[in-house]
This record gives sequence, C-alpha cells and structure tokens, in this order.
Amino acid sequence: MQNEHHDDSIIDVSGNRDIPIDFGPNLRTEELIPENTPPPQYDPEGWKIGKKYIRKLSLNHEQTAMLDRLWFADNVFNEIEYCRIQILKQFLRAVEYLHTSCIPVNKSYATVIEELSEIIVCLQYNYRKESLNYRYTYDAVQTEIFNHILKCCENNVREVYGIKRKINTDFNYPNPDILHQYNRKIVSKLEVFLTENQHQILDADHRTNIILNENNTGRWKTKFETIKEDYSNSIAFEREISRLAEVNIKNPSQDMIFFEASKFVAKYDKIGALKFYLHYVDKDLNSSKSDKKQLTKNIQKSLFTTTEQLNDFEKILNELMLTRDLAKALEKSAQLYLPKRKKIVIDPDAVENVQKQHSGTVALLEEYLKDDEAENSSIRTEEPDEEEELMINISYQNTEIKTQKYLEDLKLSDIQQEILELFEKQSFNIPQSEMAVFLQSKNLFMGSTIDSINDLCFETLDDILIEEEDEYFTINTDYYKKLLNND
Amino acid sequence: MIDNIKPKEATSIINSLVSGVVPKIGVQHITVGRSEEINAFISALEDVKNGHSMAKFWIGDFGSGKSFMLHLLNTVALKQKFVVSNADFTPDNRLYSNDGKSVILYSAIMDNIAIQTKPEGGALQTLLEKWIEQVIAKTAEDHRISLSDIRNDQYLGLIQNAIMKTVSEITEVGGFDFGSVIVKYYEGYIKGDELLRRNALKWLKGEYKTKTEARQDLGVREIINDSNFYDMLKNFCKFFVSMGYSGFMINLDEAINLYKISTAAAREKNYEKILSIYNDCFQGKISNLFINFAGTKEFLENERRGLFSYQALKSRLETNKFETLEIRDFAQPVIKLTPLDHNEIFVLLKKLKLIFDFNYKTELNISDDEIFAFMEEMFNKPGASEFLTPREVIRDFLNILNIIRQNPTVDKKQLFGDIEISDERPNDLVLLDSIEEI
Repeated sequence: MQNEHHDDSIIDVSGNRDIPIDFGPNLRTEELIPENTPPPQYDPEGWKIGKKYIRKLSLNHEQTAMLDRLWFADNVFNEIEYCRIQILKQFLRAVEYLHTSCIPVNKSYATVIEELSEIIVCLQYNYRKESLNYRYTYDAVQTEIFNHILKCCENNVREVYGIKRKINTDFNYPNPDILHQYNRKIVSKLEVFLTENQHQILDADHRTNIILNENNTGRWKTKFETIKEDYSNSIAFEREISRLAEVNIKNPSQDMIFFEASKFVAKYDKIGALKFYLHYVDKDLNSSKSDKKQLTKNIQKSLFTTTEQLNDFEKILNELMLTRDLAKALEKSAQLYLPKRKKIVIDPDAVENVQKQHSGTVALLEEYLKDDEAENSSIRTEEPDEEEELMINISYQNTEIKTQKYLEDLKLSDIQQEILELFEKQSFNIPQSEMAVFLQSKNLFMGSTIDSINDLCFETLDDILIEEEDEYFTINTDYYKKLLNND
Repeated sequence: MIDNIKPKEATSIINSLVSGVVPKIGVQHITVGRSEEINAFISALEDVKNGHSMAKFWIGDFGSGKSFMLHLLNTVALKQKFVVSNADFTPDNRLYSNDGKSVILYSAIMDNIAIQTKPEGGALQTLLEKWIEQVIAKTAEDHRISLSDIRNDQYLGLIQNAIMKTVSEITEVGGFDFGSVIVKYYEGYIKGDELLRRNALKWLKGEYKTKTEARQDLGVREIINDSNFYDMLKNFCKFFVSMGYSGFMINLDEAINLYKISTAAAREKNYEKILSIYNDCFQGKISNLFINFAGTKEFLENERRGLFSYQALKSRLETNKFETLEIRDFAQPVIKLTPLDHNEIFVLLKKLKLIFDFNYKTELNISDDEIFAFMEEMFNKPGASEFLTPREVIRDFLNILNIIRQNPTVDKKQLFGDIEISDERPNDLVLLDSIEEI
C-alpha cells in the first residue's frame, strides 16, 4: 500500500504492512499555523534548514551554513517537527564528533570530512585541484557526505523511537575504493558515536508519540513488553497501560493493547482483566472493522468460577454494546466478584400477622406461666393442707399470734413460721448444717421443709424465698418484707 | 407500647440475651414466630396432665431455636407443676448400651431434676423427702398418731411398711428394691445416719457400679443399670404423679450424638429404645410422661444412619404427607422448627427495642427503617448465609442499642457496618459427613 507521502528512500525493515497515515487535522493545523505569530514574510532562502532552525537550535554561523546545504528527503517520520529537531541535534553532535575526534591522515585537511571529500573527488572525477569543476564538485561531495550523515542520524533517532522502518543510507558513490575509504574514515566512526550517544536523543514527547503510534501501528508492542516485564502490581500495570493507550489514541490497533493487557493480567487481577476486556470491546465497537475477539477458554475459566459470574459479565457486555456506556460497564464489572447483596423483603401484612400471632402466644403463655391459684390449691390439698391440718393440732395456742406476723394467705404452719423467724434472728443467713440440726430436732426433713416454705411463698413472690448459697440458706430481705403482715 | 411485661422480666430478657442465653423469666415476650409450635406443645402438655403420655421430636438445623424451645417447654412445664429434667446426649451417654453409657444418661437426668421451687435442678432429694412426709402424714392419720410422735423410733416399722406398700402400689418393675432404698433413706434420717441417706440417694441416682457394693451398703439385690434405667424412670414418673405433680417431663437435647454412634448395631439398638419409649407413650403403657428429643434434620431423616434408617420409626415419624410449608400439622410427633423468616425477626427486633426502652426507661431513636437496615447489614455480612443465627442477630442488636443508649450521637450506619459475623457452630458439626461406619 502506498501513501501520499511515499518516499523511495525509505526501506521497510519492520515487516509491518504499511498503514495509511492520517495527520490529525488539529496537529497539522497547529504545526502549520502557530498561534499568535504574524504571517511570515517571504524569504527566498527560508526553506533552507539552517535558516529555518537558526533560532530553535541556537545555531552559529558555521552550523547554519552547513545545515543550509542539507535537505531532508521528506517522510512521515522526519516531517514531525520534534523528530526533525532531534535528528538535526544528533547530526550536529555527530559532525562535531567527526571534526574533533577523527583526525585526518593528511594534516593539510582541517577535518576528516574535508579529507574524504578530496579523496572522492580524486577517485571519482579526477578534476584538477584548482579548476572550477573541482571546487564545485568538492562542495557537492561534501554536501553528499553531510546528507548521508544526516540520514544515518535519522535512522539513529528512528531506532531510539522504536520505529523499525529505516531510511535508505546507501552512499551515492558506489566505487569500491570510495566506499572502503568512506566506511573506514566516516561510517565506522559514526556508527560507534551514534550507538554510544543514543541517550542524548530526547524521548519523544506526548504529541510526537501520538503521531508516531498513529503511523506505526505495532510500535506499542515494544513498550507493552517492557510493561509486562516490569509487572509488580495490578495498579501500576493499569496505570502504565492507560498511559500507553493514551499515546495510541489515534492508533487503529489501540483495542489490541487492551485485549493483550486483559489476557496478561488475568492471572494476577480478575477485575483488572475484565476492565481491560471491556475497554477492548469499547474500542473494537468504535473501530471500522470489529474483531470481537474472545478471551481464551482457559482465561475465561480462571476469570469466572461460576456460571452466574459468566452470565453477569455477559449481561454487562451486552449492555455496553447497547448503550456504549463504558463507565457504567466498568463500575458494574468492579462489583462482579463481590458477594451478592441480599435484599431483605419485609411484608407489612406478614409483619402484622406475625405480631397478631405473637400477641396470642404471649397471652396463651401468660396464662400458663401465671400462678394458678386453683391449681396450686388442688396440688396442695394432697400435701401441705393435710400436713398443716395435722400440725395445727400440735401447737394451736400460738397460731393466732404467729399468723398476725405473716400474711394469712400464705397459710404458713407454725414450724414454717418458726423457721422464718429463725432466719430473721440470724440476719437471714443460716448455715445448712445448723438448719439440719434444727430440723432434725423437730423430726423434719430439711429438703422438703425448705421446699414447702418456698412453695407456699412462690405465689406471692413469683420467685424462690429461701435460696441455697454455698453452705448457707439465705433469704432476700425484700422478699421477706413482702411476706409480713403490715397490719 | 408493650403490654404485660414486668420490670423484672424486662431486665432478665435484656441481660440474658446480651449474654447469648435464654432468659429465665419473661421468655413468652420474645417467643416470636412460634405460635403454632407453642399451641401444639400446650395442647400436648394438657394431654399429659390428663394422664396421657407424649413423645415429641423437635427437629431443626443449627440456630433454628431448638434449645430455645426446650427452654420454653421447661419453663412452662415447671409452672404447670411438672417435674422436669434436661439432659444432653453426648458421646459418653446414650439410651441403649451395655458398658454403662445409658446409666450415665440416667444419672444426668436424675441430677437435673427440677421443680418450680428448685428450677436449677438437684430436686430429687427434696421430692423424695416430700413424698416421705406425705406417707408419714398419711400413716399418722390412718393410725391416729400425732405427726411429732410418729417420727419416733418405735413407729419406724409402721412407716417402713407404709413406704413399701405405697411404692409397690405405684411401681411395676423393680419396685421392691426401689421401695427398700427409700425405706433406707428414711431410716438414715430417723437414726441420724447421714451415710445411709447418701447411699440411698446414690442408689436412686444410678451411681452404684456393682451389686455387691449396693448389697453391703443398703442390703438391696439390684442396682440401676443400663437395662433397667428406663423402668426406673417410669417408676419415678408414677412416684412424682402420686405426690400431686402433673407429670414428668424429660428433655433430651443434642440427639445428633445418637446419629454419630459409629457402630450400626449400637445405633439401631438406641433407635429401638426410642421406639419402645414412643410406643409406651402412645399406647398408653405409661401415664403423665412427656419426653422430648431435639436434634437436627440429619438425625431424623438420614436414611443411612438417622432415625429413618430404622424402618419402624420411619413409618411412625414420617411427615404427614398432606403437610406443606403453608399448611402445617403440629399434632405430629415430629415438630420441625423452620428458621425464623425476615418478617419474624423484624417483629422480634421491634419487640426487643420496646423491651429495651422499658428496661432502661428510655426511648431510643431507632426507626423501623433503621431496624431494617440493621437486618440487611447482618444478612449481608460475609458468612451470614452459613452461620448467622437469631442468637447472634439479637445479641448484636442489643449491643448496638446499648451503644446508642450511652452514646446518642453515634453514627448508626457505621455501627451496623462494623458488625462481624463469627462462626458459633460446634466444631464437630462440619465433620459429621466424615464419620466412618464401623
């Protein structure tokens, strides 16, 4: 494929097919008509490189004159102003190097370039040294040499900027002796210099990178490999890929950056992989020819452990294709692996029903948990009442006085009252052993006697009166007061 | 507003629930979502009071409220003048064995015997003495001897005879030895022989290991062992009823331990024992006995090692085939406790908020929407679906109420967000499937 800026001097060594170059209208406009500058006055020599860059490169007179003799074989690379400046700077450094470091064998020449120019003129044309032809040819040859150095510098800058295609640097004089001398005196030295001094070429700036990537659609791969090799964490990776994508904004292969990033990061960061894939789909949808590449089955398996997750992601993709709302899709994908938030539904009717049923339950249980006098008495009729009836006969004379002290409803027997009074006398704390001796003397079982008092008082207190604490029987004084007849 | 709650009940509810235990009193106020189950239980309780016997199986997963229900049954039964005892099945006790594991269960039941005035258990001695008192009173009346005189040594024979006669009237199997031991207890009391009394109690609790020892100490031929403990429980049931109690309720929790018995034959023998208890209860061979088993669905329905592996029990305990999730039959011996649904928990939390306010005489600013938000937060915490129980929901809710009460300006949303769910399941629950059959 040819583009409108086709240049025969460029040899494609990248193996990439040519991509039509579209200079962004904004960029071109910016380059052609700088803002706030008065319209340039016509300068017949203004096209000359030295004149053009005298200020930008702060050229001295000699440098200007030298550059004025040169010309660029225009191509998409060196037409980028930033690249052109870097080429020229590298050229000036290279010439400076040749002037200062490559000493001519014949001391009558100031520089090795002059020496070689003389050799070429002699070998190629054999003009008389003082003749006009000689002078003219000598200048032309020297210009050829400088232009060749300029081309080598351009290739040098291309290399630094990751452009695999190089321009043709065949020297114009195919004579083997000339080529030998030229290679020995200039090219071999220049190659060493350019290799060692690549670092002096400034990195391409943002705008340049955008243009370079637009024209060299596979250029991102080198940087992508570096990012992959330097992987330390998903956040840093995401940031780097984002930068790379940004400078490939005009690259029609930009979607592939996201696709490859998604594939790579899948083993480290699932959400990151999904995000990159969404970016890929988004870019792919916007491209003229949609690829709709799928992640491999293995990657899909590692990303989606359940079919629910896969289905959810498919939903996100379908929605993205429909709405083209990438931000929303990204937000949703970030939630994909979060446990699903369960929604609780409260049904007001059901709540009311539960409340109603609960009220019924409370009422029913209240009924069963309250002290049922009838039942208590029915149980007691078989035991304490009989006991009481019989015991009243034993100490009848004291009953009237005693019943006045405690509530009559309690129906405490004499011995039970006696026990309570014993508690009162002993500060409501009696050792169990002492109580056992006391009750033994009355021929009474300790367990059943204490229980019978508790049983009689339970209805009034709704709790146990005499409690066992370690080796003691104790009575809560508040409870005791409740048993007293205040009248 | 909250009706019918007493301050003491409110305090007990709040304090107990914050500690993750069921309150001693006031439990009726937090019994939300269990109306049908309670109706079924109350009806069964009435039947037992009227002389029937009942065996119920309370089946539910971890956290479904089995232990809460047993606690409630316990509370209601005590109030209804039942003698109640609770025991857990463990790897060391079971219903059938021939290496003493059944007597261990029996001893646990006897140790935990509770009555209203001794709700914490240990009431066997009291009941025994109450019963003897009754016999003494009756004998005194029959022979027209004063109550103080009849306790004299000279009437010992009279009382002994009366005890033996009464015991033989109420017991069928092993009654002679049972009566003899009670006589020994009385002798020990009258003669001030504390050791004799203690030995008699030791015998009744099934703590004698050899017949020789029992004969030396008490002069009885038999001891309570793995094969006769159930007869002895039945004797006690009659004994308690004769004293005027409504019946004997035995609650056996953690029945999964029977499921876990690794020997198929031993497991089957235990299920056979459950079958004989079941048959005794429902065929009218015993009166006033109410026995409850609580276990998981696995314990009941696992066809390989659960109750359903025993065909005779499966046919008796299978769900009424006409029952659905909506149409329940609570008259069945098996009562399945389904976990509380969100509506029920919502009502429960609202109720707890009211009880909390009542207890602390405050009025916390927590709306229904905030209760709802709290619930949603709880159910969305990691692990909630696996092991969130009402116990935890309640405890966290009350803890949050406590924080808000003391720090009214606190950010409630953040409090809800800080909740963490912990796995409170017993460690061995997850290992059930790994039990190897021997």
